[in-house]
Amino acid sequence: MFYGSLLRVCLCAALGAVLGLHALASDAADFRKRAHTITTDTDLNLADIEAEISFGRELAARILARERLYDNAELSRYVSLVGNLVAGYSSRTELQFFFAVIDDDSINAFSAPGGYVFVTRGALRNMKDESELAAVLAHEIAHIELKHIVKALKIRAVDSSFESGLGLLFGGGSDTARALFDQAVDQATKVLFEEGFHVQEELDTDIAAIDLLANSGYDPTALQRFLERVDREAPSSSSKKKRTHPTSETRMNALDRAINESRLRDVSAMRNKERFTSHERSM
Amino acid sequence: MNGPCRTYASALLLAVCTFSQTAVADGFHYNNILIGDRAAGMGGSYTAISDDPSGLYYNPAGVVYATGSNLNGSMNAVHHTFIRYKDVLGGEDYTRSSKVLTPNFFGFTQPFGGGTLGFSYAVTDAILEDQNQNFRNLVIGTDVVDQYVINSNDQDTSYNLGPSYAYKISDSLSVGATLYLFYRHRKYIFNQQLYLGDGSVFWSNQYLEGTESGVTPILGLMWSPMDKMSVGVSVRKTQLFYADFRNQETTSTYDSAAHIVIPAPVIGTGDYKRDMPWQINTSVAYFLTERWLLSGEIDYFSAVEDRRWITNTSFGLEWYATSKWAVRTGLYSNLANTKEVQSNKSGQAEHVDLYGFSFSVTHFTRNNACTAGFNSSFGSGEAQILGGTEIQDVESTSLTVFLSTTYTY
Repeated sequence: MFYGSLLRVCLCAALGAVLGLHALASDAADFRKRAHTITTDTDLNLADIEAEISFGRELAARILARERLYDNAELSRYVSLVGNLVAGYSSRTELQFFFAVIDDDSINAFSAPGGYVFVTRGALRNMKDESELAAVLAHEIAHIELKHIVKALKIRAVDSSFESGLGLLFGGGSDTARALFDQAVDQATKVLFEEGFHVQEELDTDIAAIDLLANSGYDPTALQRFLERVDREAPSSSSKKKRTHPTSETRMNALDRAINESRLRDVSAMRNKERFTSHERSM
Repeated sequence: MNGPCRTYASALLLAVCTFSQTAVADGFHYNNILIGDRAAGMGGSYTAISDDPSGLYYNPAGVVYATGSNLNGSMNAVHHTFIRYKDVLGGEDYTRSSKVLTPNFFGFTQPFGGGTLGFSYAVTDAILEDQNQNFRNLVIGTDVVDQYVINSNDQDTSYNLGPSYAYKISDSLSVGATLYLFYRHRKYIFNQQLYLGDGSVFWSNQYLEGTESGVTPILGLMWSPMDKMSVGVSVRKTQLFYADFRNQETTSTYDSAAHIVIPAPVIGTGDYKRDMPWQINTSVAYFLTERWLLSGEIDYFSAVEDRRWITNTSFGLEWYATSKWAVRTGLYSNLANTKEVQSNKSGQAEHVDLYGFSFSVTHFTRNNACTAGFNSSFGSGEAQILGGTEIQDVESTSLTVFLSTTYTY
């Protein structure tokens, strides 16, 4: 009798512990994701994507409040044409990408989550052909593809996990939530214009950009050519870029390795110099 | 011909031929070949991870977490074992070595009917010994042996093949089952020639062939009690439904008086179906970040027939240096299922506890992963390779080098 009661108590306690722990558990599929699955993540969560797009739109607005948009429809159309061609080979097929030119002489490009990509006139003027434009845009598309900002700021829709620090932002709408949202956008702006991404993130992005270039038919060495020229010919004007990117030597070495490992060094690919040159006047 | 020499040769013959007592190629251990590239790199500590095709073998419940819609994985391994019996033949060591190239795993998973369907093939043990040894001028006891020739060939492989199905009950709980058809085939040839100093010659030949078939159902459970932690449990037991072996042994002597004695071969057959152990794997994995993963595992094997119960332990570590490169390492034990060798007894099976480590490197591209790695184990213990009560020290090593590819789409 005593042992029977004891057994029942133990079973209840064990069941309670299991249920309690079960309530704390988050989706195991989330924490099981490994670093290499980031670019092949097909387990899409619609709510998370909507959260990312909302956040990206807000960040893009913040960027445009800070940087002046270059008002040239022809050039914008051309940049969008090239950008969308490259983005068509991105794994983020659920996103619609937008491309715009910033009226700034510095050499820079940046992107916001959700598909918003910006490139400066200074960067465009330092390019020699269309493949280099594709390369710079591919690098920014890769940042979106790899979700660097999304992951750094844990941008996601509401869920039951304790880690979804920003989750409530997109389901609440309270003043507190709005303040937290603004803080997150501030933080993202800081990453884009001051702190930059981690060195490894930039290197991973370069490698992903090479894949995008190769898949879309552009010269895979275009990014390397562009970066080498910028480093050689316009070191002072690229100060903004330098502040937010790894050293040239580190980058070049990583690009060299990636291109050689993928045997893309001598691939005959598209550069479209003539078409690019036809738009130079409007840059 | 003196008695002791006859005993020596006969004992060597008898010590290695008893098919029914040998559970697998290395019947004294259960953890001889690690299955699957990622698992092999992590020392086999994989029951709580199991989220790729090799999970079909370790814990089918884990494959519900496989990334991508479809997965294919294959692995080829070169498996080398080396055993040295010390001071056996008049002070000389007797060694056995095996090298075999085996496609040791293939598997795929695919979403199906609300769960995940899989099919896999695993070679859990393989051995290919092909030896030609020649000893000269031995002194065994009081006898002088001019030459002792041993030729042997031993092929022994265990295959597992079958479907799996896994179902996700909730975000943190899944179950799965695998039903393997088990098949083992062994062919063994052992020749000995012993030339004594007094002109006597001893010769023996043994041929053994055997087959075993059965099923190995595996039931698995995967549970995530809290964020970043996973607990995996799997239970299996092989049930043999068919066994057939035959043994032919011929022994002759040629004494100094030129009398040749060749008795008729002794032919034996049997269909004894061994009782196989229950195996319960329990493992915990901690997914620290997307770059770091730790796991620990305890595998229990029940006592069966003349084998004792044992628990093997393993630990694994996975680290992504970048999103394209991963390094894995692990430690594991492969304990002997035999009892410790005791003095004043004869006919005891060898007892060598093995301890191993593993290492692998994987390179990822968008849909592919290529892995190269190895695992190696070492151990020392005791054996009675001869027929008497004499005990020999034994050293054993193994090395498995593997290459594998996984495709996700």
